[in-house]
Amino acid sequence: MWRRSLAPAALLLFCGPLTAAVERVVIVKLDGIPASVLERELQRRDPVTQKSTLPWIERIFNQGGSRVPNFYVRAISLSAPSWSLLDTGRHLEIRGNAEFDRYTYHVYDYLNFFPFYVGYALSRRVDMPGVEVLDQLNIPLLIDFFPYAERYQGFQLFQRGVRWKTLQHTLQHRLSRSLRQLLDEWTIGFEIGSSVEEQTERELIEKLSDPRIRYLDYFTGEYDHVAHGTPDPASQRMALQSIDALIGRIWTAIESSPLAGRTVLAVLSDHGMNTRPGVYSQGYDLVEFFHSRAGGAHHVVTNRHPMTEYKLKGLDPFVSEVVTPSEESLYLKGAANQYPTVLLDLDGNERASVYLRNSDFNLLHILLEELNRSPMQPPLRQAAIRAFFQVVDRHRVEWQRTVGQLREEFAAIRRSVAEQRIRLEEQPKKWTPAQRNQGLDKDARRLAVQVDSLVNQDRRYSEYVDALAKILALNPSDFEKRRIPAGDVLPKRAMSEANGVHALRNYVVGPAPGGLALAPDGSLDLAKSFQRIDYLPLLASLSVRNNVQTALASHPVDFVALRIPSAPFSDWSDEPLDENAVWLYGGENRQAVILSRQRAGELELRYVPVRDLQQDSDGTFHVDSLEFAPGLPLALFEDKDLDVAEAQRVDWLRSWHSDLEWLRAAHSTEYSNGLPALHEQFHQRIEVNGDLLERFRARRRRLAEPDFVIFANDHWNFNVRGFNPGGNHGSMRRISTRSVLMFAGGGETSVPKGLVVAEPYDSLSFVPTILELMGQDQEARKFPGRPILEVLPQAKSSTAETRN
Amino acid sequence: MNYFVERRSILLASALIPFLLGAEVVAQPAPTYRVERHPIAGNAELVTLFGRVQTPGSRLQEFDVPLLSVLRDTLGDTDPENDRLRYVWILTDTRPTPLQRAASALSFFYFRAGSRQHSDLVPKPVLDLASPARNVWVNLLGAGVQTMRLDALGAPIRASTRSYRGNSSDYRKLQVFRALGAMDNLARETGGESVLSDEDIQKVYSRLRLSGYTFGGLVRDENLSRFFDKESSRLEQMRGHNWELLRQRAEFCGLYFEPLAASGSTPNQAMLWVARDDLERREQQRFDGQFLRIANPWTDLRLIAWNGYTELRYFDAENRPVDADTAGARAVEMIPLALYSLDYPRVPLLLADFRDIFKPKRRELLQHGLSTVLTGVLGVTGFGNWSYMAANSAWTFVRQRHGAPMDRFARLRAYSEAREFLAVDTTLDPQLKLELERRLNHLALNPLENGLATEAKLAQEQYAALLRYAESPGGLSAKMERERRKELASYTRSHGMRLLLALGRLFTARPDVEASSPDPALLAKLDVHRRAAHHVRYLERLLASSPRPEVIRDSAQIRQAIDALSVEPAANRRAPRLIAQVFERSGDADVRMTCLRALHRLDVEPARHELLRLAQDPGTAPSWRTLCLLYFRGETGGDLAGVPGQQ
Repeated sequence: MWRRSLAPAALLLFCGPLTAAVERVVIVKLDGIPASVLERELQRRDPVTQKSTLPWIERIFNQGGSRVPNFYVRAISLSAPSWSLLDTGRHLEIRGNAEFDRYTYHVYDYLNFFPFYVGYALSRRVDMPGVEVLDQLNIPLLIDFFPYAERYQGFQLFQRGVRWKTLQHTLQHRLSRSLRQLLDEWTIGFEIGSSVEEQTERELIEKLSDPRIRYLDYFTGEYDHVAHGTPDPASQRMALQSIDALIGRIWTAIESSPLAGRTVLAVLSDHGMNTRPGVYSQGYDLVEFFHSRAGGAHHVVTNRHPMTEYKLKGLDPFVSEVVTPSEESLYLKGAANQYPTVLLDLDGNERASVYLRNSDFNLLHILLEELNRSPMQPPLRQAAIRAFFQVVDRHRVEWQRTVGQLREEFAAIRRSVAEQRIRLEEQPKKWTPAQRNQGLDKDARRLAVQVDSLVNQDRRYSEYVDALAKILALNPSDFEKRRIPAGDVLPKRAMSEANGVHALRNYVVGPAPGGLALAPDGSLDLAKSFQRIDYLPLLASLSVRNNVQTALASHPVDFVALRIPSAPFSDWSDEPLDENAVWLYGGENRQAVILSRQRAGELELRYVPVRDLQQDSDGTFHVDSLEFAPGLPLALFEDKDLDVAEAQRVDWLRSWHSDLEWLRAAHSTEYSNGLPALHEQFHQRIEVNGDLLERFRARRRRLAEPDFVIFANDHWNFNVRGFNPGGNHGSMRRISTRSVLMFAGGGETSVPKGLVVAEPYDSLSFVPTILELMGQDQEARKFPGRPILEVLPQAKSSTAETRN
Repeated sequence: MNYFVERRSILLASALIPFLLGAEVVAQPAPTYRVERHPIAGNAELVTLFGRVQTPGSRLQEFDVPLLSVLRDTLGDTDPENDRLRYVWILTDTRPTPLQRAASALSFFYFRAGSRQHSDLVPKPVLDLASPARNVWVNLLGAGVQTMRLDALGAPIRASTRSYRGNSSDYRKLQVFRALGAMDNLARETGGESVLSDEDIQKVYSRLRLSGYTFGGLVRDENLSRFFDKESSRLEQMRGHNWELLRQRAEFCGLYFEPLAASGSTPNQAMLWVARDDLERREQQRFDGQFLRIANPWTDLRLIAWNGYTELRYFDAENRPVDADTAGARAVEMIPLALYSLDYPRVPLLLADFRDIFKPKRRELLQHGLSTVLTGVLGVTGFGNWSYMAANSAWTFVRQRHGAPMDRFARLRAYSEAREFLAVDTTLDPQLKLELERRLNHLALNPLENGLATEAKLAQEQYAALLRYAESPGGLSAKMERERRKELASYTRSHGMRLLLALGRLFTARPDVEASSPDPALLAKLDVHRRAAHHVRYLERLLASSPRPEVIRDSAQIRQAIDALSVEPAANRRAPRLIAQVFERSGDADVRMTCLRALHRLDVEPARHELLRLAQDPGTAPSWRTLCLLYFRGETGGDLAGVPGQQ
């Protein structure tokens, strides 16, 4: 367990000789504040006070600390992925605010607090879902570097445990107010959310007076909530001013705390927000698109109810899976709950992750339905049976491997479960206060939760494996003996393997209107027998008739991004490429491929404009490279803010560059660090060393990935849960990716005063910077990100510089 | 918060609004609203909000209508520190005619009972900003008498009294909402120069808004800013939400969406249109009426043969509305379907249906009628019948959850704002405007309500009457003088004492305060107390909003407030404590010294107590403790050398 392996590090950090001046870190986490809005408000003078609209931030960070104005999300600009990067300092493993498992439909609902709290109360959960996933991958959080008794964590997405006392005190505090105050609040409107934040703040300030507490954090989503709702700058300003006052109170408390001189206050946001005064963000309903006939007449699963506020079911706080059936379904009418064929993660809104059922599963399903329909001409029936087995045979090796490997992994799971149950038996039944203070009770509960989770996974994946095995066991004679209903052999509620380029461009959505058709050679005519959709151009060409704002185009989709094999592009590099590339599709003449390779241990990336990228049914790729021209995805060529001289721009863009070079050259462009961020988003990293459990966990991560991600055009969004006219995030646009990062330190720390760091950094830099500030240089060097040299002590800056 | 000033400039700069409304709004020369100050006798002034109204059906005839007046008691000087806002008059709010009164007592009479033609009487103030709680008790008393006495007198009395009270209340709310809409638009329209300060606007707006809540008048002044901020933000979010909901529904149904806004404001109304060409392809279209609440246009044969109002609109290749002379512009003939208010919680509210003029009215009639039958005729009330209350709440909740407009209060507001929008709008085609006004007039269910055109004339007459009243010797100035004496008593006498005096007056039958001509001594005393109260409010807000006062406010301003408070020790009992708190919180040596000097200067027991407390406080730095002690002992001897540096 990584927690055990971390223990010595935590011990060193706590008990070892204190070489660093920084002994305590206080982190204020702000959800969704764009650096641009913060800067606008910082510069703005209040007409009454003649001071900055955000006077505390001005004083603490502008004058008394350091700001990193070019701080970017190194992935899509969404809360769950972004906080996972900021809280771990490791490469991306959580790729959306919600993820679905392709085999089991398990929903990783990272933003939903309710099931967590109830699960915690019932002793079924210990940590938020994001933390559970990271734990399984042995990826520690920054907080884990501090012993349990020395940390104070606020309520947040990557939360360990629940402090019921905070909630209890929130209620007590709220009700202990005078009758007059309560009456005022009743009239003006109670705000339970802010009450919890107030209580958390009180506790944090109280903890600051305890010198044993070395790590404290505080999370607020106030701005994000307001900015989604309205682009009105005054409303957003009020939210920011409230945060400014909070920072003032925390800083004042730090100043009067015992470790004042050796405390660093870091304030950061996870992403920006595409919000502009006077412009409403317009939504496009992808659920409606996918369940329309034109979009494939799919039954669609989302993690929340569409238009949730208008349904009684929308009140269910535990919901994480909602099926929206299509009345126009071509072959699955009435089977929406068993066979949904699209899973959509729309949270985040400027992008949507789309999981489509494997197209060949659809084909097999249709064939089974047709074969079971009587009567059918014998030649056509025989052709259909042959076609069925051709498809099965095409996948046979892969499916057999999946079944075999998963069964090996199930055996490993069962062994592990047995071992862990023995450990659980050895745990005390009652915990002493001292043990509780060390968090041992939570560790034990965490172990129990992991055991339950493994048992559950074993069961659910077994269902899929058994179904797959049934298909593999079929032979043509079975069709002569009996009817084989699709429901008996095709796994229910499973997407199966992701679709390749060929499948996405020839996606089977139903039988042809005329039914199955024979080819002249007596085989089934696969082209004429099925209705197919080429999803990429269809999505790119979507448009609306109601376009009443000049700032918006009538096309809601900017481009579609998906992972493809890099093998077809091997000629474009003189060194071996990474296994996969990223394909960006914005139209037949708006395409590009992002290639990556490792050179001397350093990541290098290349952007190649292409057109007509196609894949044959046998897997062969065809692609033409294209000259650089305006209009390509990410709009690098024409962007005046690309930091490359115009005369050298084409040559530069044609070349390989490290991710840092890309960041430095492109961070000021409209799509900022879109290129390295897209690579981060789609790159598969988990390496398996032969351990079956690790292989199983790596598989689960892979199975949580979508077929493709749709990115919205400027000021468009894909929210269907409700409406977000104020602004959205999720894209690679600079306004969505450029986040807030500021440091201020006590007199004994190295944090410079009045410094504005010009160098661009990304999410991976945060954790190593904090660790270096706290003297954990060895630990910090294990992280992939660059520490922010400018805020480190002079000596460290020069040492760290050699690592860049 | 300086919400208004901030929002004005930004919203004016908004790229959205001019485009949405077309070039006409951009070219609109004069602002729609203006504020005028009118000095009156008795050291005060009337501040009046005027709206520029168009004659219905004309783009040319415009005239200014006084909408709202506020009495500002200035004590005869130009310093805003000692000003006090008092009465608020909504000038469109008239006393009903006997016919209107009689009709409003009829239970199922849901029509206008004519309009008052003239109103030369001085209007009643809707609010006294100095005692907003008074309305709460009056309303509660009225509700109590209704429930305990009148309801028991049988169905006829119950129904008619409830009907009368309901109509009166609705009429008042309607006028308040109109005033609020005008104030909201004024705030967005004017460019930062205003006769009323932001704080004053916030106060008037919030108090008017809160007057619609049962206990709204009890909300304390210090919470008004928070209420105003929440309300403004809520309104912005509501409009954006409904804008987007309606646009998406229009998109889904193949209709056209057109947001409408008063100049400089965010859109708060919207129209839905259908293209005549699309009707020819109606079999390809789909429709979902859940939120639109109109009949399916694709199955409506009336639209095929539509000979009502239409407009020719032009769109570019990106489907953006453009002028007719734009290259490549595509012409589309549009038929209006409906007008919606975007200022309704959660869903756009249907206000006018072009195919079914009575549809919105039917909705109102049904809900009014049902309510009258239940409470008026049958005497079933929520508090008297818990099972009814539970069933009604559940029904309302479920209907609201599905997007039904169940909030009568909000519907009134939406209707009132739409009337105000149409009154001042200069962008809509006059014929379309007439059509909309005609349909909106059908929504008038209140017998007390006057027509739009009459209302403008009545407002002008009432304003003239108010001015006459303000200038008459025994009029407003005398009333103000009485109120000033009461105000002074509130500063100098305890609650208990005032209560005892009031009881005494009951027995002696003497008036509360004798009217008299302006008394300079009284004005001087009030000046001291009001300034002290102003500075106390300033310091209280300062301390409530920041742990270090000088970070959010200019040190000189803080010092000035503290110095001012120290001049008059009897002015405010809270002053020593507040000054001591500023000393404790501040890291600015000058501010701290000012605090010590002020406490020393106050020379009252509470101030000395604070000095001693600070001198003994271990949290205070030793050098400052020494200084506190010196001031406590009065051993400062003028300027002190060696003032400690900043903490």
